[in-house]
Amino acid sequence: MPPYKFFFISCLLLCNIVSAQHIYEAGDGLVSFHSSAPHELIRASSGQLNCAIDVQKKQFAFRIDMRSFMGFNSPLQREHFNENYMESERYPEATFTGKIIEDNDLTRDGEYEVRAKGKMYIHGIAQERIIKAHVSTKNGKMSISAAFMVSLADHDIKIPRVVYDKLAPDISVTVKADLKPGK
Amino acid sequence: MRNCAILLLLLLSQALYGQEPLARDFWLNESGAAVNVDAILQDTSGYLWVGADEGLYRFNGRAFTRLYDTVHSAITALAGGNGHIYAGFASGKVGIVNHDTLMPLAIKGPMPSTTIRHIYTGTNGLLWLCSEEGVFAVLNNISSVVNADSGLSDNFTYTLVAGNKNILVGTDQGINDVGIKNGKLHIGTYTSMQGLPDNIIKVIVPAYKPNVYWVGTQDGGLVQWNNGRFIKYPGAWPWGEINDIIAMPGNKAWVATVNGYLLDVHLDSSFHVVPCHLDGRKINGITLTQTGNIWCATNKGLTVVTAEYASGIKMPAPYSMDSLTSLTIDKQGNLWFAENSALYRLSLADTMHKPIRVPWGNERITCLYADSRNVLWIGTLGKGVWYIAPGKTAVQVKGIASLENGGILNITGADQYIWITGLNGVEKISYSEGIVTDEQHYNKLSGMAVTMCTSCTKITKTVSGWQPTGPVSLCMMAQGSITGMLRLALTAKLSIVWRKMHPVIYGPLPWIAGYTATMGAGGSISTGITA
Repeated sequence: MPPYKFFFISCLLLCNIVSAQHIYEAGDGLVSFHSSAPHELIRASSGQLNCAIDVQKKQFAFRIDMRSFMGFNSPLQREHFNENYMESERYPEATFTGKIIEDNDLTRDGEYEVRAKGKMYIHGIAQERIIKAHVSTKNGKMSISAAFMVSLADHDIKIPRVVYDKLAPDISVTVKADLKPGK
Repeated sequence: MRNCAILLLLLLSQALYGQEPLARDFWLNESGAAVNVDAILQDTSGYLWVGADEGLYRFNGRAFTRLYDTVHSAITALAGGNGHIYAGFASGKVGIVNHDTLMPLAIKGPMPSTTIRHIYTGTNGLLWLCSEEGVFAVLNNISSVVNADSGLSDNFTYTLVAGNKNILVGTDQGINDVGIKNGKLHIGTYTSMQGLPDNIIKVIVPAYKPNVYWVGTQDGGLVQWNNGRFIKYPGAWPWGEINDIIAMPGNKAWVATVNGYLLDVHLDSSFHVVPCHLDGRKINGITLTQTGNIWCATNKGLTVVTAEYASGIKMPAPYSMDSLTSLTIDKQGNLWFAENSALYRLSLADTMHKPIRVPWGNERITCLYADSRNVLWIGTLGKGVWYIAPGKTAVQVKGIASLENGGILNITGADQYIWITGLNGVEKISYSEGIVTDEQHYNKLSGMAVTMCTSCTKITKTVSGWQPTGPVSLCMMAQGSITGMLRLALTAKLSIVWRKMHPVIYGPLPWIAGYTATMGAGGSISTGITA
């Protein structure tokens, strides 16, 4: 997603904060991924996931800085991740914005299975995704978790032939975040 | 206990995987690289239209032609109607095919800026466009929009079908029934509250009954909407998000899913589903062609699946398609097949799918044919023709010179006769109570183009046999004699010949030369082609 668009959506969501406490947000969500290729397991994570959910409008926006991923097997692997695959200089962030399909009141204490539907931008390429997520609300705090796959081909992330056995074509991603009502 | 659970999971995953269909992939470009295809349809002339990320292609049975277009956006929807082919783009634009060019439609009024999900061509030139911003109606190049502000339950619309006085729209929040009541727009909504298994409605297709629709959902599988009642697939739907449905007579349907499943569905008192799996592919759309093949638009290009084989049986080792020399199905539902000289019988009713070896001679089998009396005819490479009558052992046909020790290429039946083609020409024989009678022999001397004949098939009631006598010629027999004969150059268009021979029966066939031909139950001719 172009940065200005995310900014615009975020602004819209933030505008609502002024008038009501129906925006839940977090700036330290956790995103982890792992690629299980025959000859190499690559895993990394970032604790800098920004997320905002407007429970009234059932809209959401997630953003992660690609350079914030840490925990690779080696510095060289991280360098390859940013320079060769994600091209983080050119596409510095991944975003997922859209709406929640299920019609639940997520502000009430309880456990909910919902689907988040929207456009996921990775490597500058948008894919429409519907992702199942678990939402747990208790005492005004909302915890979300989701697991999904990202196909490198869907986002035009090229795998050089020499590393075919080192990089899986589909990457497993997990997301966890604890959100609080905006102030 | 843990091992049992693992074993159970393994078995379940195997059952879910489905059967391997007889499929062939097509590439839209010379490099053979995967091209995402979102939409596909066949027009009334038989051409296939393929909407891909890279543009619109037309397939004439032999080659793909990419149409010139000025929109430069992925094609996400196709529709035929009002004598035109329409294409919807990811950019929200709509195009129309004009000769070999895809021209953008100049539309006055509101238009979507997001992906066109579906195009429905109504009567009198009315176009309906489904988008993420509601439904757009276009008439005489002037548009209007129906969206959440007008009363739709959601702006994201996937599919639309028009009834007599209403339209049904599939959205992210159920089905909207849109009509006019007392001069005002009236929108009724059906969601999971009314019995839908899921609110995201991706496909709505009319079934072959009034007021009955097949409905495909994102997470709840397939449902039939029958006069206001939803008949849901029982239990969890294991094949994934539904992307397309083709309704078939007899309350049947073909269903395509994101997970690569092509499902042969039949609903009587319950759902029956035969899955076929296209490994590693997402099926975005399907179309059933006039020859009975199902073309699948996938994220990796085009795959054609022969509908008859799609419900085929995956043979356990040591059997393999590579070594099969012939197969046939008799009237009792037994599949007979040959692997070189070994003959097997497999009851299709037997869910264990265990073939039984049937003892007979020791020659290499070239062809099998089960006739209407359930007599199995066996053609061999050098030992003529054998037959096995029900409950009897194999017997070699003797006393017919052209068959004894002859190489048999094909056996078929027409009326009460058995037609045997081979290296020595064509033999017409009859069979009754264990007695084989030589009726007539045809070869080059009796008027055929060549003596060696690869196959023959009955094509109409008035014509006894249609005989491809090799890749270069065809003979037609009527009333026991050869009445028409044509030599085909390999480069000559078969369509011209067929239309010349029988203009009523044969429509235009754009491909080049046929090696074999057969007639389906509905009277349609299928032909093996060189390309």
